[in-house]
Amino acid sequence: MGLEIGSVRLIWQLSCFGQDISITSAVIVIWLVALLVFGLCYLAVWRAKVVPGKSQSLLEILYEFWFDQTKDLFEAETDHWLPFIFGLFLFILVANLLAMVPNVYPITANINTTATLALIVFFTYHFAGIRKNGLWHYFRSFVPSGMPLFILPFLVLIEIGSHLARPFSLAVRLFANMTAGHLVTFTLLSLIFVFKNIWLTGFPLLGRAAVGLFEVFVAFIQAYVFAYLAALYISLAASEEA
Amino acid sequence: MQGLGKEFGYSFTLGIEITLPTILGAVAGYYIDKQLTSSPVGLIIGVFFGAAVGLWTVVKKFVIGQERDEK
Repeated sequence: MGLEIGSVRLIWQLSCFGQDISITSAVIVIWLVALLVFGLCYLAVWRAKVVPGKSQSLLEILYEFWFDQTKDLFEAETDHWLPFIFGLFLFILVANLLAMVPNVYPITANINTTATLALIVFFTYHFAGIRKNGLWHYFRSFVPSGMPLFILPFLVLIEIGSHLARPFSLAVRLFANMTAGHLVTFTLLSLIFVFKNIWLTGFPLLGRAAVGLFEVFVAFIQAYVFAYLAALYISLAASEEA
Repeated sequence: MQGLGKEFGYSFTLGIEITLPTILGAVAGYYIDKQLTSSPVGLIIGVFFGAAVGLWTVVKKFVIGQERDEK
């Protein structure tokens, strides 16, 4: 048995230039999450008022929270990067929360989704660094200043290694945390069939309820960590501290 | 709240930022060993290189974070 939660169902087989681009249940959930994020945000600010309603208030609180989190990182460029960071946070948060609904494929417990998100962040922060500092200056920041010459080649190698490890750590962190939550749930509910005793059924269900609450917390924390690290990497790249 | 969030973010990343490069280094070293039949030199170099990358990442992140906080 592989470490896979749920199964991806093939819905529409498609290929383009020999590449498999089939529509699967995971793709449908990704579209659903994107639609939900867009739809809920649109509804929240549709006919926005000076004195906001409930949904507008909630969205404004979240947006202001991210503005506070990132204003020290981006400084004058906060308004430029905040939509990307906020969008990333909402997408991961909604995907994490939607994964708790039975029969919905948990996309953030699939390494392909988290790896794609991590690669988007990886290319974006390099783009931000090159855009701000220029190609030569940006890649020159990979060479630490004030280091003895004999240690420099080794440090450059480590620096390149640390950049290559970033998308891996982003992808694996989100994937592992979400998979772990679903595995614990699966294990707890399996205990019902192991015990085969109606009087003991309550314990796994109580455990499931507790884990469910913890999963909500993890869903928020993981979405926050992913988006915050994306913001940190972009700000480091833009400030030549990459 | 802002400081707490940042601390939360840092603490959640620490473990994986040290262990993951070490594991990646080990896997890369293992495959290099398999290709060049140089076991266990590649594995040893890979593990140490991965650990160095992990430590460098964490140290750098904290030094930069501290410098920013002092500003």
